[in-house]
Amino acid sequence: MKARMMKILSLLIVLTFVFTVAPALPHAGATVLSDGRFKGIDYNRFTQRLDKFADSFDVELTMHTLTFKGTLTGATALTVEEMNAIINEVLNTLHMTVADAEILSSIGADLDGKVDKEIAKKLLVALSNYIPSPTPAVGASDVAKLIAYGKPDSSADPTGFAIGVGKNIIVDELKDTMEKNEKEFIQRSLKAGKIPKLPVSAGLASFALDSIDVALELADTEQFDKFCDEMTKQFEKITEFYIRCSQKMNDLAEKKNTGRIRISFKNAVCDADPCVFLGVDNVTTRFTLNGDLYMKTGETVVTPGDNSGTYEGELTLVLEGKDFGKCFDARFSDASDLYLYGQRINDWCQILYKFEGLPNARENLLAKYIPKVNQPTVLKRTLVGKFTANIRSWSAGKIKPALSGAFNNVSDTTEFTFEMNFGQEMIAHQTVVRNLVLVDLGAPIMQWHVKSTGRGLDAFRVTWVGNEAARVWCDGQSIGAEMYGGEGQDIPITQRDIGTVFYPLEFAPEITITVPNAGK
Amino acid sequence: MIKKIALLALIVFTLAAALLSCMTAEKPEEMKAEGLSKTEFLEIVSQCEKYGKKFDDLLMEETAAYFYGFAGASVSAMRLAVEKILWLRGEGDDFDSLTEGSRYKDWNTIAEICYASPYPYYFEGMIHEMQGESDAARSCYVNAAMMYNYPEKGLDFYYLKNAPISELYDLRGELCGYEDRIYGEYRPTLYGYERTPYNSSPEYLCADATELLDAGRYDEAMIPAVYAVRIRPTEPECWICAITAASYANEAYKATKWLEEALRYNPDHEGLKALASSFTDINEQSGGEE
Repeated sequence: MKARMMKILSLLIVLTFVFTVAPALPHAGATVLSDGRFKGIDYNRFTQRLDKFADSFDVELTMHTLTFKGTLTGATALTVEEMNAIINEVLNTLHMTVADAEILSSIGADLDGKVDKEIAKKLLVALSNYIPSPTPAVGASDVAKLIAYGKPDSSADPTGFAIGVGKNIIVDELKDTMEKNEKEFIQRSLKAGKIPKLPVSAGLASFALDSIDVALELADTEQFDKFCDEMTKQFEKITEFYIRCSQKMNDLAEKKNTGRIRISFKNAVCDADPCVFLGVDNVTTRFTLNGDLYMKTGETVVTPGDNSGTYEGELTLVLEGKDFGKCFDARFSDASDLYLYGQRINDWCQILYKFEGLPNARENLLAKYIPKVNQPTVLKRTLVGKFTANIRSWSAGKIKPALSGAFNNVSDTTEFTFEMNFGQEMIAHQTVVRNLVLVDLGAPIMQWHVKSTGRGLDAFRVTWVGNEAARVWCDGQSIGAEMYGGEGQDIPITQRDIGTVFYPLEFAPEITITVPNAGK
Repeated sequence: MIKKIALLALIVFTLAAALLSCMTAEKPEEMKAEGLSKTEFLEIVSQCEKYGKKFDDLLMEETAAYFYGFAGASVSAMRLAVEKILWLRGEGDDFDSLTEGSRYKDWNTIAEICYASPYPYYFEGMIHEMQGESDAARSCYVNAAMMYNYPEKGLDFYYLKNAPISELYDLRGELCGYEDRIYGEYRPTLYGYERTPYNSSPEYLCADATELLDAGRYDEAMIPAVYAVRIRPTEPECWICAITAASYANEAYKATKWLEEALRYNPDHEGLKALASSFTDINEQSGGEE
């Protein structure tokens, strides 16, 4: 039984080995560097990069004097394991090994942007690997000989092309051929301009594949065509490898980053400058910004380290009264020069004068029946806007995306609740004029409940609670006009009445992203 | 009767001879010339241009430079020859005004575009010969005719000397069209390297590069080395000279690009392979340092 178990176990181990190691065969012979990359694969030829990139950046949305702090969450890069998995998959598909890719890879293609003396020095170190140690001082040409022949002296090989053969020797050989040719040329006594081909000196120009005579045969040279085909095949194969890898890596990067790359504002608060509202100055307000603009993926390749692209989404801006109890409610009666309010006070004064004959009615009224705001006034304007921010390029410094949209293009709602009590007491009662006349004079509660959409407070819906504001009774019959009934009235309000509370909203918002120099 | 038959035969023979004569007279002069025809010459130019494009697409820059250069130097040489003939025949107030708008106006510059092309020497010799400068002509002809790329059929464009002026202008226009196309794709880098009859020898060029390397003139050494590479890219020694010079001259990008192209031709060369391995290590390290 035990032996049988061992057999089963062995079989499982073998199967596990086959299924886990077999897919990795393409890189079986590959050298893995300390950072996990395969040696010989030019990772810089992939669209995706392995470098460590910053993925969080400070953002500011400004609007007039308002500034809201936000964050841009950038793309996250693929890990080396994710990239290697794709490399193996593509190598499998193309029936290639890492070694194939290594031979065909561009050795220096990625040096474009970083050619510097430091790398050149390293190249010299690489060259010096060919110099036997210990070695006497050698010149550059000795290094060339070592690379070419594996030994510093090429004179032992008298045949063929050799580095280190003196220029004079070559010139002498060429001169000999030329002199012979000249004699032959003269002997032939050729007709003017009709020049035949003369014996070619060894070493004179021939292109590639020596069988090429750059004449009509050029295109028909079998060897050359074969070479071209081979070059094309190699090029196509390695290009295909890098293209396929890049495509798959791009797909994975997009999958990883969809919904991630965004400009976010989360409860970003900014207190506005003191403003004037309904005739009261030094009123304080607070703006709060929320929302996300997400980068549109699928249209452009998601590349960590470059978060340029088009961001879209909705932002919600809320304006609320701040400390209204102090700055607005408590000061309204004294400070407001609101037209409507003043009118109402005047009306009451006339009534008082009529029925009580009081001089200085206004002062008396206010002194006697100081109006009170019954509850904390609520002002809340909520604007929802759809925005598109286009970041055309990504580089260190301050980036200002082209921002289109407006804070009210989705919705704009204002809630305003204001209740003012002018006093519920009887101001005048039972005054006899000729017959029995009963006069009730009561101050109503003035309530403004406003919920508007559009550009804020275009109209007040005013409700006067207390439906007998001023009524004159005579024999049980009302003889006076009802001043203000219980029904609400739409009272237009002017821009002057609203004051400057909404002034910052008249400015177009701007977004600034700060990319530090060490953005990568 | 016999006389009649003889007379008839004579008439038929005379008519046939006259017809044959007419047919011969209508044959274009170019076809009568020996050696490579203009059409064949332009076919070579077109083929080289095609290969230039092909190798450019394959990212084999020096090979592309060879083919584009060969096409450019050859066609520019013929164009300059045509302009010289026009000038010799009294066209233009002076040579500068006649060649206004033309690209390259001297033989040395045209030759430097590609030292493997025999045409600059050939056409230069032809112009010397037309002016009675026999020694100079012979020297140029010999330099051209012993080059590997000199066509087996030989060259004979001397008939251009007597071609109608309008045809010469037409030919110049046609050649300028070729130049526009070639140099639109490829802009040759000219270093003013001294022109000698040996510049078509990769061995000579490598020997010159080696001497400059030993003299510590690494920047200058790159020039003959890269010309050698363009002439014979199959020769690993040419590439090794160029790569060594570039490395010593702190031209890391050139060194690595040349090594890459050298390996395309010589994938089994031990020295190049070992060098590639070292370069790859450096590349990996520098990639990691970024």
